[in-house]
Amino acid sequence: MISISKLLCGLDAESDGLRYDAADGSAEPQITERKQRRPVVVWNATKRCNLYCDHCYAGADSDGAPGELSTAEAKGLLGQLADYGVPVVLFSGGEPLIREDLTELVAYAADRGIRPVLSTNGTLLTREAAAELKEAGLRYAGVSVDGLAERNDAFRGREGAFDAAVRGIEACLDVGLKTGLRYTITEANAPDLEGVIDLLTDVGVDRFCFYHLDYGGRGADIVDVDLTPERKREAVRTLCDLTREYHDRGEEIETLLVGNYADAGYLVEYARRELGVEHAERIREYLERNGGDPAGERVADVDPVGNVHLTQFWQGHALGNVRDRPFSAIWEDESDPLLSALRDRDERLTGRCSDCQYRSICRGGSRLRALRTTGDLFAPDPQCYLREEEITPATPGAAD
Amino acid sequence: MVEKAQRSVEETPRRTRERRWEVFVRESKSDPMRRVGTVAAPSPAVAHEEASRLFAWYARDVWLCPADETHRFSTYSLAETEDEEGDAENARSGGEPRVHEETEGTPRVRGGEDRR
Repeated sequence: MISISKLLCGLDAESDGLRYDAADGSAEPQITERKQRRPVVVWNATKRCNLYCDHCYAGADSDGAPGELSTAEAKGLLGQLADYGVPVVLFSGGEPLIREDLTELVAYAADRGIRPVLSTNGTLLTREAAAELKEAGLRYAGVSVDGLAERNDAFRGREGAFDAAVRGIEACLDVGLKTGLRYTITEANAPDLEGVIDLLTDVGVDRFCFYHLDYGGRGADIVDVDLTPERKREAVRTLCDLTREYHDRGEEIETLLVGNYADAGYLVEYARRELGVEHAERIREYLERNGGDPAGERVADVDPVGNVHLTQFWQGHALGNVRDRPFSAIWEDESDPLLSALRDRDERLTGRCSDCQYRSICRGGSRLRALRTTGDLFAPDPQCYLREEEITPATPGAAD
Repeated sequence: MVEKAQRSVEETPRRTRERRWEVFVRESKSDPMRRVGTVAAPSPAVAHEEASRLFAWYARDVWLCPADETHRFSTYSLAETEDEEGDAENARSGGEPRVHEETEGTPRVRGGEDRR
């Protein structure tokens, strides 16, 4: 996750406060340090969903999966994550609000010292539900909207889904629950991007997360509507320009990019061109600390039946299952050749990644996209949109 | 006399959509086969392709076993790692989570309450 607003406009990132202990002012540096090394864990609380979205990485539907974790097992998982020092659990799905014990589990996570956050389609978020979740300790609700009404509803398989999601966002804002937008950019909805920001800013939203399409679940079936690298570049430049325009007129929206670490190199190039070399170098140093693509290190996923995945998008492969052994044992097991190779991937990256000047802040981008499109786990991410003259150390700053 | 471990059988499904396959690989012919997680695939042939790509630089041999046909006898229980409410037996027996049945945006409870 890369914060455009933080890097270009200096706005403190809400995500830093969630991911790290910065917002807590923790007086225990050893705990702070430990938590900063642990992954954010996405838990797909159920596979059931009241919508049927074209890009759903979890392949969610109305049926759910047999044998989803019970309330007691979910508490067992959350307790394990707390003991391991996981800073944040993202309750996702399917649609997590379909679980009747969601509030109970959010409260349990919060009581155990984990920051609970929610990923939802927003359509079931009533004022009452939002108030209960906030009271239980929920720190943030990310609501998925993928275009203005017509495009969003077509994408999500239900007429009225857009209006229901906006009502859900308003319910969160009414009760003081921090909320934001999640928007997966594709060829189908890129034209709505500015309109959605304008509309939701008027509603009161000030946090916008833009996801690049990853090729997992049903997302693997719509690769043809993914933006071309050049169109991705245009979309990211639009977001950078928009963020600065909003900030210039005093509207401090937070904008973030997720799922394509070519964005890291692009932001350095953008800053070099628009804001100067010193600013660009500060961004680069920050992104080097940030660490690049997080698969296998700073993010993990547990699916509805307990399988542990490298990321939420990579559910075709599981490292293990929390019904067999604790999460920490699975995640720490570097005798697993795949986990070990991903954590030590720098020397394995091939093609244009092998001598790219941005390799340290990108780490090759999505290994899942590389695997799905080339069959080679260490091939370049097909959605890297950096130009040859940008990735060559001798000639930085040759961007558009 | 050695005390016998008290194991329970863990037979909850491991798939959310496609069949899952337990994957075993080894790097050289003198190594034992090593379990390296699972892959989702509709058939052993597709599972083999997937495992071959994931472990291309490592795996000399690949074994695949249907995850749903593996009988896991274990002393470990996820629910019992945290359970203080006495519902571990329900969890172990594969109890479904309590879920809402969504109707026109107004959730109502579908089943599961009797399991609490």
